[in-house]
Amino acid sequence: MAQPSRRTSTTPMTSRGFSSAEVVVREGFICPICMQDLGSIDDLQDHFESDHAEEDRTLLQQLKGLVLKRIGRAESPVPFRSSQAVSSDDEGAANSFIVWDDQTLGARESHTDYFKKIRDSRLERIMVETNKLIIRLDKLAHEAPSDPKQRAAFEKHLASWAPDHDVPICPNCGKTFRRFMRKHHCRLCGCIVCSDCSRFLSEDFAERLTNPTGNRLAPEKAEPSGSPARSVPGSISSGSGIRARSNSNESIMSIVSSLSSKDKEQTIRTCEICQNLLERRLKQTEDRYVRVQLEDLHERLALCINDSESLYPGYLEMTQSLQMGESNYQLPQAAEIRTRLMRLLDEVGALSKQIAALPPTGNPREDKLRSNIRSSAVDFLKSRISAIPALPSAEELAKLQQKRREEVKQRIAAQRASEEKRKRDSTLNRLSYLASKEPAHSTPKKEQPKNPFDDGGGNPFEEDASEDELNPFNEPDGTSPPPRQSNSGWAPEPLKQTDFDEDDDPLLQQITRVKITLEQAKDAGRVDEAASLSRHLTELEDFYKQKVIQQL
Amino acid sequence: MDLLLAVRMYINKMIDESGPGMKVLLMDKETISVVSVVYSQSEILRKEVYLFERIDAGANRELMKHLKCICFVRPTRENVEALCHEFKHPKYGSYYVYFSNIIPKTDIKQLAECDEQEIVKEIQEFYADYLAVSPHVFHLNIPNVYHEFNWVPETLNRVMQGLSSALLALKKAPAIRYQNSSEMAHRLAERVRQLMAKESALFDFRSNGPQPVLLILDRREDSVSPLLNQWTYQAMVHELLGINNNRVSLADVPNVSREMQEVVLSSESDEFYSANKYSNFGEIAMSIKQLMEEYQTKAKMHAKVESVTDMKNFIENYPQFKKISGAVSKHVTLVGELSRLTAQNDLLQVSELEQELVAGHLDHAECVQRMRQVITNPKVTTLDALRLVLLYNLRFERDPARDSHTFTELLRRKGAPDRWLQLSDKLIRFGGARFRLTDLFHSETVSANAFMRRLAKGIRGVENIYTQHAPLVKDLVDQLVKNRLKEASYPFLGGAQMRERPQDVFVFILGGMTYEEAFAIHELNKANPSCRVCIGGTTIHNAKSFLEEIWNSDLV
Repeated sequence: MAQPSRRTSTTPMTSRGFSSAEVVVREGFICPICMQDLGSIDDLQDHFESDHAEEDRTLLQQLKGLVLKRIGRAESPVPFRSSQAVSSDDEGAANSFIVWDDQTLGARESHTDYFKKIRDSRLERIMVETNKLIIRLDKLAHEAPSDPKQRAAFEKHLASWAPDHDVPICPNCGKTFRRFMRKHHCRLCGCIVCSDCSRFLSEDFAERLTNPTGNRLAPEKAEPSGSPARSVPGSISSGSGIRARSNSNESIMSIVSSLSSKDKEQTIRTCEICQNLLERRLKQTEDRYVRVQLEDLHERLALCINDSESLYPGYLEMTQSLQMGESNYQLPQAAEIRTRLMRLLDEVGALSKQIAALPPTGNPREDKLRSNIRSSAVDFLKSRISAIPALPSAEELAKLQQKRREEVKQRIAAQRASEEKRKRDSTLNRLSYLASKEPAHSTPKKEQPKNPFDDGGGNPFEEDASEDELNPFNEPDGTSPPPRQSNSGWAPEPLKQTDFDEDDDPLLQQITRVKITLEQAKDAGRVDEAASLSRHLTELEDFYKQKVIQQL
Repeated sequence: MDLLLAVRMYINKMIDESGPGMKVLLMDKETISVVSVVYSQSEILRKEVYLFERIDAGANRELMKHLKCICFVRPTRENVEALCHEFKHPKYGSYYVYFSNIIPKTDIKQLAECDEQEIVKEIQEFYADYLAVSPHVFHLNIPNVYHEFNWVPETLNRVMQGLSSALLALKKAPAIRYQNSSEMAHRLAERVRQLMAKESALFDFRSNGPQPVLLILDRREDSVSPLLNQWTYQAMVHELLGINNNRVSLADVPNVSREMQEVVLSSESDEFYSANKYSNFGEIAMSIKQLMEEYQTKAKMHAKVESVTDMKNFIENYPQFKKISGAVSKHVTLVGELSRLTAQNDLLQVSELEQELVAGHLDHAECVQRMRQVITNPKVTTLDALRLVLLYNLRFERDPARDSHTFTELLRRKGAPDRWLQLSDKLIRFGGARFRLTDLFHSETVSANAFMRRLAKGIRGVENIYTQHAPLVKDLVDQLVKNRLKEASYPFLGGAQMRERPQDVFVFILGGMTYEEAFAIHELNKANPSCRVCIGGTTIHNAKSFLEEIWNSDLV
């Protein structure tokens, strides 16, 4: 009856704080034989096993497969669906849901590769061109001789200037060059433009392009690290609207101002085309390095939410187990997780508050972004904080555990009574034979329950009955209920009778059973159970060896 | 075959592909509706999508490079142009582009040439180009498709795109049947088939089982369904108040509180609505009462918070409580308004007569007498009177005793605008017997089938006089899934043959569907678990929007 990794409570009591995940799948629990809607996995299993026990067992397996699939569908692809609980007794609920098969993502077609192929072949040309310009710019900025004449020769050589007589009109604006309209050479590509169409690059601009990562950041005015606006190099043509906001705009301003400044030695004359190419590159490189504070805060926020989400199911499991009076978990351990969980949620609250309180930017969308982050976090907190169940106090826990012990005792007594009755009825029962023939065996066995995951026998310390009654595997005629899912969320598969040779020594049979159970436990990743089983197995084997020796 | 889930899965996939980080969702006018009918804002906020922008508001959007942009738009010319501009002057850090339908390669090329800063990370087609109202219901929000009873090329194209996207989203490549009497149905069927042939790689869905079937119908075949008053919750709200993209405006309701001016009815986030949208009016009253009681016990429990245990209980139950209280105030307001209108307009009386007109139990003289009585009732609205007159004209279209003049006069006296008075003739042209294949009123030749059905109904007795009418679609689909639908009236396109009974069925009604039909298909699905039927329309009509459709249908 394995339901790997999914925890399903068997007692209605536990479903209180936890109902949504289960309730939502109710739509799907329809008995395939009599078409009755059973509401939950457990009910369906019970119903099936009691009412259709005589039917093929393989059908049961199929059914289980289906049920598991339904759960998978309801939870994995669309986690949000589990949030809508549907009241189970409501006829209307069944009314509006029709169960259809699993659905996969619809058809899709990707153009990404084609898009990138076209884009990249185009960008390669631009990139090569820009790189060439940057190399020249680097040389102009750093290697040019300071002597004006030498410098002119250096510039001419570097970009191979176009001959003056080839260009009668400005290629940019189409004006004819005349006496008072001088020709200017772009220092980067060598083309000729008129004075109106030429541009100047500031040293700072050149520096930032040729040395994008380096120390250039240091001499710049330190911007407050929390500045929400990104450094955005606006284009020259863009007006004063954004000037005040970012430092890189200031650098653009320095270019603009340099146009009118007399000190042209400090700048590099260029044409519009080259300037655009360079600005584009600068924008790209700068974008790559700037990161706003909001991003960091949001990243931490997302991390906290994820952490708390991963802690939450485990904590829920613990509290439920504790509320049941089980002793699978320790109270302090649970309390510690609770504290961690609460601390994470506090952090979520604090971070989102911090985001909402960042200095205003004057950008309404940015403000909207922050307030949406905050409200989403608040929503999350509301839904989580109230959904974290409290832990029982130490005294309450003791009481709960006491109560559970009594319940278990009662159940064992009841079981034993029925067992006794059955024993009386069947004259030759292998198991009673084993129990009576070798009573000494019960001593070592008693310490290790055969099936520590079974509901009744979950706690070794509560066991005072012999294994025969507790271990459902030992019911050869299958009259007692098969193992149900335990509160620890894992139970071994029922063993097939064919796994055993009827003539084997009962002890050997037991060893085989434990081996199989151990395999299953390992597969299901139940480390604790597996460890105790393997301990149990070695002891059994030792015992068997001794017995064989004795017989010899 | 869950149309709604299909859209949600597409949206989830988009959000997942962009990875962690703050995101903005960039949409156009139509995709905004696609997303908003299946996702609530708070749900999508939880997925780190914090901003929602319109692509056509380009100039107003601000530079925010720290956001990832998920762009979900229709592949229209304007959108491609807007995206080109966006890529040249990007406002966001990176772009994940999803077109809601098939986009030409040339457009991709144009876009690629604009992406000089290499900001586009993904560019794909996700076929969520329809509005998923329920798991089995979709529409395209295109009213007024008739233009002199034919398609305008752009509309035909748009409808074909929307319909085929629903097929793609559910991965179905159906055989196509269409209503033989409708040239428009034929043309639409032809276009869908052309697309499937052209994009055969895309429509290559291997599946076992019988081939799905797409049945294309024309609203003109059944003008009755959109004219009737409705008594199931969803249909009633749409009829009396109007549902627009899951939103219902209550601004006209007397004494409505400010936060109730507009409410959202979503099957996804509203449990009560999802559970009760197909309940009839009486059942809703019961459910509302239950909800109220649940709320009151909770409220009482919360009223006394004295001990620590009370406090604890309060905290534990609070979110649920809050949810309930929201649902209570919304649905109580809605149902209250519905019952107010029912009483104020004497809707029960109107509806009873409507149903009897349609069921064909009454002869002409009786009808005339009852109609006089109802129309002259001052409580009955002009619109309801108009419905009756229209139904009367349809019902007795070929009856020599038909007297539309008297009723037109009565309507005029009731204050109906001139436009409305012309609708009787327009309706006959739109959906009169000359066009129809089927006998909507079981009045003339009674087929063996229909006869048996009526007989059976007679024996069982009429359960509810207000909901006797079953829309024609229910009959047609029933025949279709039993493989009994006449090929002469509803032929397969390209002469395809069907030997098996189909399991997956799409019904598409050009000219608009109704919530009554959505309900009927829901009932069919519930009754036959072996077949799955989805229904769609160019829009979802109530009487008002349908009259608008008729009015525009033969305008030049």
